[in-house]
Amino acid sequence: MRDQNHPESSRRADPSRAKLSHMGTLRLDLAVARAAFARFASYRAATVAGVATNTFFGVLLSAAVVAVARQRGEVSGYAEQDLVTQVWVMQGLLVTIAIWGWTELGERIRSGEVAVDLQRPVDLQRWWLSHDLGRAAYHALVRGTAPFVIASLLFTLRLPTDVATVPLFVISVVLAVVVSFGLRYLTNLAAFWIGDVRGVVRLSMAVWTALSGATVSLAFFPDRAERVLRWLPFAPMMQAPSDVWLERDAGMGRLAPIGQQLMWVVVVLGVGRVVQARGVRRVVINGG
Amino acid sequence: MDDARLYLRLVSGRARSQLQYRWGFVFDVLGATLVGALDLVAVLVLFSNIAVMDGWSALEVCVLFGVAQTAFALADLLVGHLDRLPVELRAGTFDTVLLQPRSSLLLMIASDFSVRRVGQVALSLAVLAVAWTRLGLGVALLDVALVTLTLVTGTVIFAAIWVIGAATTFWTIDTMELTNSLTYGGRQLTSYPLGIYHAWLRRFVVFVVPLGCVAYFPVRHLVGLEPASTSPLVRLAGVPAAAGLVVVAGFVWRAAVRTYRGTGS
Repeated sequence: MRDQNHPESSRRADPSRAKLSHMGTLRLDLAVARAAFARFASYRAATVAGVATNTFFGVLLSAAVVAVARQRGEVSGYAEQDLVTQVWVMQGLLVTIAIWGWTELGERIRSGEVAVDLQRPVDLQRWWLSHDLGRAAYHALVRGTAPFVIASLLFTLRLPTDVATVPLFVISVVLAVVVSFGLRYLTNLAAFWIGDVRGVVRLSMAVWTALSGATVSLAFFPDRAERVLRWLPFAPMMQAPSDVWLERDAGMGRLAPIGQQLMWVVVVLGVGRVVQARGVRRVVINGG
Repeated sequence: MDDARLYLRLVSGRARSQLQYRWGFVFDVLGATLVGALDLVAVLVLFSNIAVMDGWSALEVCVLFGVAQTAFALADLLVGHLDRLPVELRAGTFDTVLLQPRSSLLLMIASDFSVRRVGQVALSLAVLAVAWTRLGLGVALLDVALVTLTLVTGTVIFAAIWVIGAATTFWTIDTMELTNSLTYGGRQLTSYPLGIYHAWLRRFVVFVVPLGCVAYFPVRHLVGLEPASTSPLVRLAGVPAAAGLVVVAGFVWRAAVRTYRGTGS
């Protein structure tokens, strides 16, 4: 006879302690990602509006880039065509990596709803990462490609000449999404300490946009600044994938930006876990 | 007068509520200000590669940047929260606005006032002042009057486009981003000399969506880059543009509100 109060069985009865099998977690990751994909795919009008927005910004940024490149011939080894292409690759990346304005987790922490999330038998960071990859997959397929296609009617854009570039680019974009997710996750965790996270998010958005190469390619920065910026976690979100597309490096050197991205993936996700472990001790459930 | 008092009372309440999460607010002000500062960095980074852009020096572009960004920041302060209108439309909470015996547009505009955005106004004005002094432009009464008029018309142009764009979401709900491309995109567009853009885009932003009239023509005159053959009236292009947009905005807003159906029980 099994004792009802046996520690083993009571642990199993507590859902927060239950452990999913390895395959089970993977299936769950996929299910979350698929749900996120469907969630964002349902906003059709927003997708059209978003593509139009990225295209308009792309036209404006291209004009500024061309105004400089025409005078210089090339900037830090980037020809005019490279710089214009980079503008358009980045317009697709902006929404794919969701550099702007994610406060969903922060809001849940502020309201205390995160307490419910923490009760679930899934890892919080992993759940949100799956969600974000599902979202990114949708944004990459639609909003990531459309501005580039439209722009190729207006400009002569650079296409890869080497077949290997395509898989490398895909890997680099996925890593860019994960780095961006890791940074956004960290800023949202600030809600454990300061409550309203919108200011931190807005502040970090501004910094990331400027220092990742999104508003002006790092190529335009003075050499010393460019070298420093390439070692910060922002270039891996925008400059790195677009450099892969432009085939900036040759041979094994092509793996260098991807290696750098991988390093930052480990750092931002790792720091995120440490911060989260400290933060959950401070959960406040507002409103009873 | 009554409307003005109502506006002030409503926004001062909103402003006070923003001071509740103190650190959140500090980061908010810093963030909003930094957005403007980093736009300036972008201009300066581009100019670290070249001496002139379309005939404009870095300081001259900074004057243009200062005027355009101030106008944008003021419009953002007054009506930027219309960005959230679609949320109210989707949830049906716009009902509560219609139940008040006041203009629905006035109530929407008074529904928020983001104190953080004051930081960006201050920063943009500072850029304008510094670039202006370093160019040695002096303080001739007529010039100061033209700058002031340009800031007013520029703010009105941005704000009216914001209202029109927000109003169209009564029909489409999900297209606020399109409006943002004209408002936030307009900030980018007007911060650089119009000459760098394609002819078709220039025509579009002067005659169709008059973002090109926000700062370019008056500033071109103020920094001494206006071609001698240009009529002085061109400097005042912002006045008819702003007036026309206000009429259109009022019309579109009223038509849009009439289509509002709520979201059932």
